[in-house]
Amino acid sequence: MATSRRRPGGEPRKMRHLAGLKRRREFQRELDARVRTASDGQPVVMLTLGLNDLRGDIRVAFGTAAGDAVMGELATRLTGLDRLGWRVTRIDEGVFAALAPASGAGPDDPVTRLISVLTDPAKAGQDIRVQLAASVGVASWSAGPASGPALLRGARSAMHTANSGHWSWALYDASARDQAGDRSGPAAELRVAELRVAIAAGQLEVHYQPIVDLRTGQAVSVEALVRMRHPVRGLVPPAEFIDLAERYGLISAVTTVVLDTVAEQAHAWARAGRSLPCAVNLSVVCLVDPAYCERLVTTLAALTGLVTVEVTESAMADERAITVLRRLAAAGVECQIDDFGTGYSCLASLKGLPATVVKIDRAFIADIETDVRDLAIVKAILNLANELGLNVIAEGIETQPVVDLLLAAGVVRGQGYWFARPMPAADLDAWLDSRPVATENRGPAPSTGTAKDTTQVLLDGARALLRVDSVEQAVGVLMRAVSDLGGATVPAMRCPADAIPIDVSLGEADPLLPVAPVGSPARHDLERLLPRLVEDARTAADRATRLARLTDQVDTDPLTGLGNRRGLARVRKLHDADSIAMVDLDHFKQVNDTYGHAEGDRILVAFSRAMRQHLRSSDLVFRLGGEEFLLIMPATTPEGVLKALENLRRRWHSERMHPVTFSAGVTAVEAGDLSTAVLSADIALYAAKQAGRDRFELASRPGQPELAVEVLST
Amino acid sequence: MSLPLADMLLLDLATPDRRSAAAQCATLIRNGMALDQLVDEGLAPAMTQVGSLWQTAVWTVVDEHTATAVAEAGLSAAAAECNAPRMHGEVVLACAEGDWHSLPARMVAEVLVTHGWPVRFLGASHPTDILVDHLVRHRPDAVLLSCAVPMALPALMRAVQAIRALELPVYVGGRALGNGPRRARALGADGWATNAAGAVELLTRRPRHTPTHDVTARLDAYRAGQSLLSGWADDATGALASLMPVVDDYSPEKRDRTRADLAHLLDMACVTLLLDDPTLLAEQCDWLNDVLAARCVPPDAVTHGLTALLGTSPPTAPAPSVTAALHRARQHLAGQSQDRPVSPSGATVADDVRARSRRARSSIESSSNDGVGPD
Repeated sequence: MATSRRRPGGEPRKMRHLAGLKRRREFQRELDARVRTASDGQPVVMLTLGLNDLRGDIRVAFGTAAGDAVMGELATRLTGLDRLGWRVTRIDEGVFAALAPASGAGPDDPVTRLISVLTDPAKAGQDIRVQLAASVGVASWSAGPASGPALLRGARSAMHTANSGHWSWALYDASARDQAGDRSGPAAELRVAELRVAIAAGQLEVHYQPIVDLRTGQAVSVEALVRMRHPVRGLVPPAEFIDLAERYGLISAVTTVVLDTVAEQAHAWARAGRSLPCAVNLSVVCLVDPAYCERLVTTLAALTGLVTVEVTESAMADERAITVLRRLAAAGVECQIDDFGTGYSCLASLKGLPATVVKIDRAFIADIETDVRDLAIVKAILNLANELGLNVIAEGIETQPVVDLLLAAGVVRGQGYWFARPMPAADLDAWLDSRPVATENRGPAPSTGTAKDTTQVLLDGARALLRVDSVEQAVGVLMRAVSDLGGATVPAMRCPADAIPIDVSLGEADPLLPVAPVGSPARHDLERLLPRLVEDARTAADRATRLARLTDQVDTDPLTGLGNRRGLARVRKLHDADSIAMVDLDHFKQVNDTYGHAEGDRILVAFSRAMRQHLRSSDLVFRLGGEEFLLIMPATTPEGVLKALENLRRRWHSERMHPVTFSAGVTAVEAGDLSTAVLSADIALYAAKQAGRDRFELASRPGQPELAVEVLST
Repeated sequence: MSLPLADMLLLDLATPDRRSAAAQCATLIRNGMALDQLVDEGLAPAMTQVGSLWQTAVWTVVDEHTATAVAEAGLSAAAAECNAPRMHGEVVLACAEGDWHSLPARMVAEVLVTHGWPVRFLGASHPTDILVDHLVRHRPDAVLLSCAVPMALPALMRAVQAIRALELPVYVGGRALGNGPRRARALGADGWATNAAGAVELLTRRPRHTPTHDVTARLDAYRAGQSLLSGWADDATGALASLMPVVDDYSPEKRDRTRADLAHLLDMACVTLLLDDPTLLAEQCDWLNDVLAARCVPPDAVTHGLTALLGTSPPTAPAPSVTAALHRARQHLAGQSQDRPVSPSGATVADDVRARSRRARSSIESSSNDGVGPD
């Protein structure tokens, strides 16, 4: 079906990729037939797809081969649709028409399918992936007078309506002769497609809501909130798509867009001398995604002092998420608990969480004037937070009386429509400029936004540096100090000319320079105090590095480079799926006695190397002493270990320079108990030695008579 | 064929490849090279090349910062491989206030540590009051001060005086101190060294030196000269337009930068008087000439600047002595222009880095059409 009956020879190269598509005339015939038989139950749905000079753009950017590669991949995807019952043809340079399968339920499904097929970036060559930009026109037809060409024209005209240069789509309802986007709230699949388009086409926007000091009305920080700019529906609030993004695996893409935007904005504010830490909401889904969280930690660590993170209480329930939050905290990234009080959190878990701020959910703030119970809850949260050394921010403040009540209760920071709605960065700048300058004293120092007392910053920094055990942490302390002194850090690549020329990255990453407006007290403090703190941090980092190396040396057998008994003590918890083997070289004393200890050492080194070379990289090998080795093979059955040992024996015998053999006792780990497993393996090893050496034995299983050894090899 | 050590490291600085630099430096030390040699033959000359790449506008400030960070990583990795025996009393090492070039001083600190001196390195631009506070509390055996930029020499002089008052031996070093002990003597320091080996020798011998001139009087004269600086630079900027008509077309920003350059020349003239060393202003004029020439500023701009300053000299003291210094500098430049040094032939790694940077930049400029104008 998908292949044309004859492959035309001598066609221009660009056509060859599309040879698998329907020929235009065939397509036209099928379209006409389908239009004639269309009914309410069997609408005809047809799409046109315009690629905005895709080929030319790619060719200019990456070369002809890349352009051809993308067109080839596109053709493969379109012919793939053909196999699913679609009819696809090329109707013009860069324009394709697709007739949905007869069973299509409505216009939503085909457009979703087409977009999901085409929004995946296409491969243009080694390490080059390009996003295909396109506009899609959709025309549907159920009954009444029409013709195939009319439908095609409808779809094309819808495509032109949609054509904004990026991914976008528009509907053409042939039956109603009405061109309009879907305003009735599209189905979930379509909304997912919309979101994919929005991510790819840069239609996500970040708005910022100021968090203010309730006493002065001054902004102390902002919260970044994502919005989707839909070509037809306008600004879509996050409630309509975040949940979908989490369920359909798009949340990390959304988070990346938000973080990139926020990073740029935060740097811009820093350059403009605004000290405005920006809180970014992180989904638990992102935190528990092992691949994404690494990237997240790296990105956020570079934004210390500029960006803080907000997580909901549900993050507290997940150990993996807490681990990531701890790493962020160690890198100096502040964590806030969002919507506090609405989840299922256990209050006790608050103390274990690396958070510094609790945000009281709007549910308790909205009726605080009328409902004394809400006020009681707020006061209770505040007490708890004070005891735990956490700061509190009230969300959803909408009236002045609420502000007064909160202040009376002791809450000093909050956000809500009473102060400002979330708004684009440019509007926020205007809003900030319109605020009167604060004249009151600052009161107790909040943890972000305003500068701390310089002596306190130095003391805090010195104290924190005593505790660091990695360069990363030392950098975190420096970033925190810069932020506490009222400055910000900017990568040297983007630094303004008046950045303070002192690198606070300690050579651990690309250089980071502090910035603060020339002549400001913050700059004065930074210039005076920072160089010294940087050197202290460097000393602390050097000490940590030396200590780490020393630990490695202590844990490593100097002869073979394998872990020793001390190293074994640092092994992570074992699982029941793991197995171990005790391995021992046979008659090794004779080798030493006959050839001397130097030769014995050489054999030990060669055997260690063979083990490392011929076992998996995830397997752990330790030299426990003399010629005795312990092998830990994660997620492997004892039988698997036997196979690996057999392989090792074959290799060792083919490479060996001495007739030295080895024996092993193998056992599975039970209940994560290494010492018992070592004991069993040792008994099995003893049995192997007794049975004549150069053999491997499985330890007896629990419940079986002791030492009923199974001889597997000789 | 292997490259000289400095060229090998310069390649890492130019890439810029932090890991490679760190691995290379650590390996060299592990293979038996002394940290002194790595610093003197590798890191220090490589950083000198970096400085000249910036000076000739081949590299931007960002390139320079990045390369410095790479060199820092190399130095840290090398230092971590060295033993640090503790054989002497503690020494404090700091950069003069206003001098942000901490890497050279750190190189000296790391070498001293390997020679058995526990060094407390206080980092870039250290304010004198904070330094004095530290010294009073910790009473080290000696103090070393580093200064790479001549602008920071007055601050260095104040620091030296403050340390002398504490009766601690104080030694100075760094590019701004020139090639002989003259400037160090003028500052009132007890000794002077050009590199880590010199610092080791000073700390071993512990020479003391009592200045024969009135340091306080010179500092007062410097301050008086400084008070003239602002108005004089304004007047000279106006006068410069008659010598260089192009100045009239300058944007306000560029005019400000020109004024700042003139103020810098005046400041250097004052520092010349402070240290009683006429070569200092001459050096600065040569340096400024190179920097401006590389940034497409018309030739003889510095000579014209000096002429404009001489033409607008205020009548009050100490203007006459400042004027004399400016006059000598202009004579020096007139002598220079007759026999400008020819750049040495023979391609080096620095030339290669330079050529590659130029190529990369010209390709970016041609695609972005965003050329670098004179600045």
